Amino acid sequence: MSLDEKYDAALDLLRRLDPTKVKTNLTNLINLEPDLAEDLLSSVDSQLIVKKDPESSNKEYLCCDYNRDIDSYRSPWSNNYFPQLSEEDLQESPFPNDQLRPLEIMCNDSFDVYRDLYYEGGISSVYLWNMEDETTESGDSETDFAGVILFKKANVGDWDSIHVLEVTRSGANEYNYKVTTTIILHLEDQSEIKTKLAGNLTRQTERNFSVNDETDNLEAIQVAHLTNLGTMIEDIESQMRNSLETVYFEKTRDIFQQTRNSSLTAMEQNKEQHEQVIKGLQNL
Amino acid sequence: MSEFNTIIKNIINDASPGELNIIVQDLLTITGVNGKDTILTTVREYNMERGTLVHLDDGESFVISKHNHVENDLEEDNDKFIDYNNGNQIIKVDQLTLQASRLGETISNGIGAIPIDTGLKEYVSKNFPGDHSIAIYPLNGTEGKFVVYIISDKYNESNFWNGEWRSQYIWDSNNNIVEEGEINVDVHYYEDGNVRFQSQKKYFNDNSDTGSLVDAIKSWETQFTNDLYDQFENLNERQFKGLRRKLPVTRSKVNWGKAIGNYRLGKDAANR
Repeated sequence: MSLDEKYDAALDLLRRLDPTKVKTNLTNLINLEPDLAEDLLSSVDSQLIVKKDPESSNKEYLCCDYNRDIDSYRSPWSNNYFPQLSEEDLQESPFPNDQLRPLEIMCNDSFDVYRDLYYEGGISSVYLWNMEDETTESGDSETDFAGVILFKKANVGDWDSIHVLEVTRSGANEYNYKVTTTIILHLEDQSEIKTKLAGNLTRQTERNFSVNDETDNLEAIQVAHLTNLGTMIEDIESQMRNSLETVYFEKTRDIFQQTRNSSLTAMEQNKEQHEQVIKGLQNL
Repeated sequence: MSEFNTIIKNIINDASPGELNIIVQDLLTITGVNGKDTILTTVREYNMERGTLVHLDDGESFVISKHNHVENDLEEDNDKFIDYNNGNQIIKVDQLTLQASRLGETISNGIGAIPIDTGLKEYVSKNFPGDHSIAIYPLNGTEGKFVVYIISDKYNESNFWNGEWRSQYIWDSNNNIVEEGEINVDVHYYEDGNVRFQSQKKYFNDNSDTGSLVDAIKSWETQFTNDLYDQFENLNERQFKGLRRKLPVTRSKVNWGKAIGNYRLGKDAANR
């Protein structure tokens, strides 16, 4: 079997195994076939890790494969990797360039406001990176960029949003925005019976927006990108929240009722109670 | 147990309902033929340990478990099971496809048929709309004690979902006591994702209440189902809704752009 076939099989498996054990299952699959490690780790989303930035008053930031280098994660606040990397390693580490970093800062500020309005708590982090000429569709690494927008809220349940985006200049004053969203939602109740309702949904969205990039005002262009991305993420998350509610609370219950017809039990109980009452009345 | 065996066992034990066959094919793709023997042995143990519904050629359902397994040292003869409710006939099972067929043989030293009472049959056929089966098998080595299985499956691969109900009881027929029970619900929905809903509970008859098998089962299963609906409500109202709001606190969509910082100014002003 080729490595590609093994990779597809591993992805199919992860879709069929317990979604609360993604990290264990990833480790197990990599153990079975170590050559899958890099591809699996970079393409399978799992719950986001929280780290503290010691250079920004220990402010928390979110970590995943997109802001990782070796075993360190870059913070969007100080723009440094923690645990600190050696001078030598840092030479190779990815950072957004001087044009892109201001947009990254702006995005972090704005999505932090958004997070506060919708999540009333939680953590958000945005990471952007420049694209190589050969990897971008327009072939213009000056205008194009990619990134990831992350939200996490851990309350009595856990919510992790991962939006991976690619922004490409698609024509005069026009940009194409591609967003792949995965929301990981884990809910659990251990009270009377042990119940786990957990998993993830993924959706891709693509839209074109006009951006006047003939101006010399870099900030104006960046505000336009931020507004477009913000509008898109807000729409996607609202739709995904509806989908999650439907799948988690209607779909799974419908499927359960295909195996056990619970309403019948309730009706039966009612009927039995009625019969008891009637019997009681007849005996009067 | 080697690390390889442990990994295979963990993966098989984690399988979503009705998807074991596909999971095994995926595993074989990754491990190559060298893993085949370990994988097949693990699948057999898994099917027997939990109690699994299989389908006979005529469409009838049948439960295989360690309690009706005909043990055999020969690997190729290790997939035979006794049908206690049909004159101890021998049924051979494909552990992967879960297809089964009667071999036309009976086992002479098997224990005689245990009649499943009509009340239990009626309860199960009324309440379990999936492919379902009831089984009552002798508990190994204990006179008069039985294991009772109720399994109901509904698989819909083309619409990306599968569901399963499994309940299992220990019944002391001499003293007419259902000593303990365990109920497992497992639902998988995997269109554009992977969502799993699992519920589980073990019951013990602490007061040693006597009574008919069907009444004991009915009462635990009704209790379980009611609790399950309550928890669903709780997970939606108390957990899901507390994670992300439908609309922002301001009740209108975010005003993106340079002025977004005003939200913070507004908040700071309000907190002052």
